[in-house]
Amino acid sequence: MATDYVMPKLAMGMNEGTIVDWLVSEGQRVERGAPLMQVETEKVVYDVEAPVAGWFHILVAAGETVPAESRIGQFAESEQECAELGGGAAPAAAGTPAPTAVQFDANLPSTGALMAPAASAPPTPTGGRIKASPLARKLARERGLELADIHGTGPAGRIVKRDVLAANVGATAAPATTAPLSPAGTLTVKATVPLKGMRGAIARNMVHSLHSAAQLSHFSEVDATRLLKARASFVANADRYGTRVSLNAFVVKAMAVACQAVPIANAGVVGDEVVIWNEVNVGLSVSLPGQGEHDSGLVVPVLRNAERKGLVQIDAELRDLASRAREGRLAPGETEGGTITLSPTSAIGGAGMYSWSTPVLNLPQAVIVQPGMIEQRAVVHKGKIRKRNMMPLSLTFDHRVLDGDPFAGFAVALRRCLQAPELMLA
Amino acid sequence: MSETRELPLVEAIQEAYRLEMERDQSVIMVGQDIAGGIFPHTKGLVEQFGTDRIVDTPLAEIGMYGTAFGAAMEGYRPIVDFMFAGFFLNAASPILAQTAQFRFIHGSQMSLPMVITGACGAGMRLGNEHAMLVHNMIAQVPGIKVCMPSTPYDAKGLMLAAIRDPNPVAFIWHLGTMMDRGPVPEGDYEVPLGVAEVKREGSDVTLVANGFQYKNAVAVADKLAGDISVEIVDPRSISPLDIDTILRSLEKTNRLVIVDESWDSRSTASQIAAEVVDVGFDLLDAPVKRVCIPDIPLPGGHMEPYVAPNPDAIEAAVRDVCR
Repeated sequence: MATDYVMPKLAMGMNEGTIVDWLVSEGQRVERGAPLMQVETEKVVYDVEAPVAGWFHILVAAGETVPAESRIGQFAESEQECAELGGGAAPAAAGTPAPTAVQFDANLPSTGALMAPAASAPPTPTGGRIKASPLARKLARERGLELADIHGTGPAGRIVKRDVLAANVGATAAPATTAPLSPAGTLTVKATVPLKGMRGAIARNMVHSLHSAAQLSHFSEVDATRLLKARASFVANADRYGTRVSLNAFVVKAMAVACQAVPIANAGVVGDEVVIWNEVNVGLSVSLPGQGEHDSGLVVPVLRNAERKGLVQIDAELRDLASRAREGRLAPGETEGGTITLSPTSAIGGAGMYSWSTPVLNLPQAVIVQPGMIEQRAVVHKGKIRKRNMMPLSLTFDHRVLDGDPFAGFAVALRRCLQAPELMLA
Repeated sequence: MSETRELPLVEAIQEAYRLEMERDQSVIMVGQDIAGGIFPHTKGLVEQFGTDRIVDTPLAEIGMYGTAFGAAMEGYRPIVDFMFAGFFLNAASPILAQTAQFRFIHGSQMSLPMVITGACGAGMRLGNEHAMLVHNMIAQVPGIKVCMPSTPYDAKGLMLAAIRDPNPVAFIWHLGTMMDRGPVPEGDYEVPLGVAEVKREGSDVTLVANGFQYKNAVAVADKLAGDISVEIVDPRSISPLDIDTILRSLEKTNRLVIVDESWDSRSTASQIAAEVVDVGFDLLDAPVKRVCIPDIPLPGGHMEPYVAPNPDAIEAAVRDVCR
């Protein structure tokens, strides 16, 4: 990011100064301490040295008189940045992108030149601290904007409120202008949601998952009548256990048991091999409110070592993870290290549906489990039509990792545990 | 007619004295040359209320203050007038150590309903001790309220509130505002202690100023109008300080300049800056700037205007935070 250069205040009484001559030319590399310009004050002519090194961009021409402390030039960190600062005045004119790219290829990493025309590339952070006002940081956080993507126009390049607002307008305006409008132009924009921050991360992860894994979904129905009875026993003893053990805890436990029966289900693609894990770390997808009226969010905290934990402990940890996820108080690392994911649609919005869907894998994991809401259905039970509590169950697996046969083994094991929960005691 | 009546600030103070002394027989005045009336705010009071209630004392601050202190313990509501506020320092121990902490030390059994008043401020070329700004010295000590009016309206309302307050209140007024004229309603009204006022609406920067500096703030806001929109907040009271009004203003402007005619260090300006950074950090889009007296003794005579906050210094600070 370029550093502003101001007319130095060379004496207490100096209110303005005249640039007699620039001792460098536009775009020239200047070392710290090298002669930069001649300044005439009310009293005397000084030679002024460059306070920092960089490629210098002249903002005020020689001969002009300006107030002390007003901006007269900029030190860019690269030749390219300096050319961008120069705009049309720079040797590489904005209207001729092709020669520009060729000219600067030598100085750029190869991907840099391919990314975008130089003029529209965002300023690159140099790895140092980004200067931004407290308000600008807050606004950027609220809007899901990265400070590194915002160009600061405040003193010394500080990012201030106006910069965040300008960046936000850019971010929200982009989808609005590129959205296909009907020929008659009858569509009007109600609102836009920037694909930034959490929304951006979800979008990237989902597309990456669907593009890179071989996803196959599998639907079934589980008779959850005995599962509900088992749960009722735990709820009746809630005082003793300190928690009303939830159905999700049973599903997590069943996933752990099924994973131990079919280890290839507790695996993922890492690099060019399939890695099968010892630990069954279950990610729990938790829906969050979004940053705006139309937005929503999603986070997947991880319950570790489900294979070694009992229902009560699993339930307590699930509740703790979910509540802290909603309050934004998850510790770093608590969303990492999952080996399989539980996506409980029945919890979304407090009421689910008796339905199936095709859950999207949380890569690099090979399996995701999505139970739906339990409802009473008429089914054939022991030769008669009976009311039974049925649970729809949707699973997706990565066909790169496992084939239909082992996956069926996992699905059957899971179903068995959910239909006859006492088998999990084995 | 009464709606638009204008009075100089000193007459507004005098009107508060008269109203309250007529209404409440326990209100008395103790001070230096308050019967003679070098300063016009006490002119004529002795003719109306007599020497029992307008008690003129020798130039002996500790004795003068002790008279008022004892009267307050006996149920009177004395107003102690030091004429030049800087000379309160001659009675600093009974004021800061004893009066301010009196109620606390006596287990809330007794209060001292006193008003300590005097004028001060740079720009009159009166010399160091006469100009010395003391509001922050007094405000440093908990247990005593401190206010400083910027307008005749506030002067009358704050003085009425100060006399009626059950606690000791220091009412400090700036010599440079003495003859400022402004609308003053007839009759009784109070300006509550500890409540700031947005005196001018603006959107780009919050400028906090009171006393004489309020006039400088208005001059700067007028000059910058059309370029930078300045919102002026008059704290009116320094202790207790109404930080909420400043924060509400900052929600709109996000930039803050505080003018305090006082030494920079440990001033109300520093206090406001510290509180804003603490509880209003996310409201700030620029560093907080203070325009104060540098930490040097006030020079006498012709140098005063250069050392005290002035419109040029305020304008420079406003422009700086609005870059």
